[in-house]
Amino acid sequence: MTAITFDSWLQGQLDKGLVDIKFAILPGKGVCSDAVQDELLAAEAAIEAGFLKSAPQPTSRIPEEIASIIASTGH
Amino acid sequence: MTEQHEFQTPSLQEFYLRLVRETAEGIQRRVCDACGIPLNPKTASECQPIPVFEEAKLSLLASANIKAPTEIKWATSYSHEYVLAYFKRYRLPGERRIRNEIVVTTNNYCVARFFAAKELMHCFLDEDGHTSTSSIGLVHDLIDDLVAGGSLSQQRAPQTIVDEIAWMGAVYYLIPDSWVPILQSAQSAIQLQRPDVNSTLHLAQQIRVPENVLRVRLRRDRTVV
Repeated sequence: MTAITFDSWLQGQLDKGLVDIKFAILPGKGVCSDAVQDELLAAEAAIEAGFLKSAPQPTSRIPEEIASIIASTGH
Repeated sequence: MTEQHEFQTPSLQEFYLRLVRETAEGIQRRVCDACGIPLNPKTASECQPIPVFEEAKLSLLASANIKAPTEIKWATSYSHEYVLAYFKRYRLPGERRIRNEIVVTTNNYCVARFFAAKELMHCFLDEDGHTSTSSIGLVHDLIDDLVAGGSLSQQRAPQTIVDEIAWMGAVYYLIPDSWVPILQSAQSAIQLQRPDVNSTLHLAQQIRVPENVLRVRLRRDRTVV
């Protein structure tokens, strides 16, 4: 079922002029082609529905003591 | 494999590895020049995040846009475990002009920078379309190869080779070769003065890359990477 859905989505993209697609796939327990296809379709559905967010921002900071060690390290 | 590929994998791999390194380093020089980030820093604190998609005088995304319209879409997602980013290229039928679209799903800033950089590398790597994943069969082959781990396959398709090599482009772009010795020194200094903290994590925060990527890059016995 997943393959049919994925293939029809893909065919639709090819019809729209898709000439290349590449993926950043994380290895892990449970990873399989179907899971990858499902996640891709979920992302595309989210985009299609307008569920977009802003680019992530940094949230963590280096402790001052460590920052001063880094600052004092030279060649 | 649903389609046959006739080529010499090792030489193709070497070719693309050299291409991605030269490409990443070339863009890196221009971006660092424009942004005042030293490629030969005097102290480790001068190593700063090299812009990928951030507002800056120049970034990797801006460099991609010089070649072709390129957009990153940040998809809201709660269930992405395996596909954290992907790259799509479109060419309207009958037109020569292309446009690139990159989708990133992760919320982590450092991880997003790395994955976006990896996908942005594709904007520079496939000028002639030789490594394009341009049919349903090729897309299935690529996913199967990536899921299985590229090294399992003796006869990897060009699409798979380029997709794997794009990771290296992101590493070269975000962590210049010339920074490695001073970052290693900083790593040692932190370990010496504060053995209770994760030195690599803090250095990764300094240049905003994933910790595990920096850890591999700073390995002292490395011969590759």
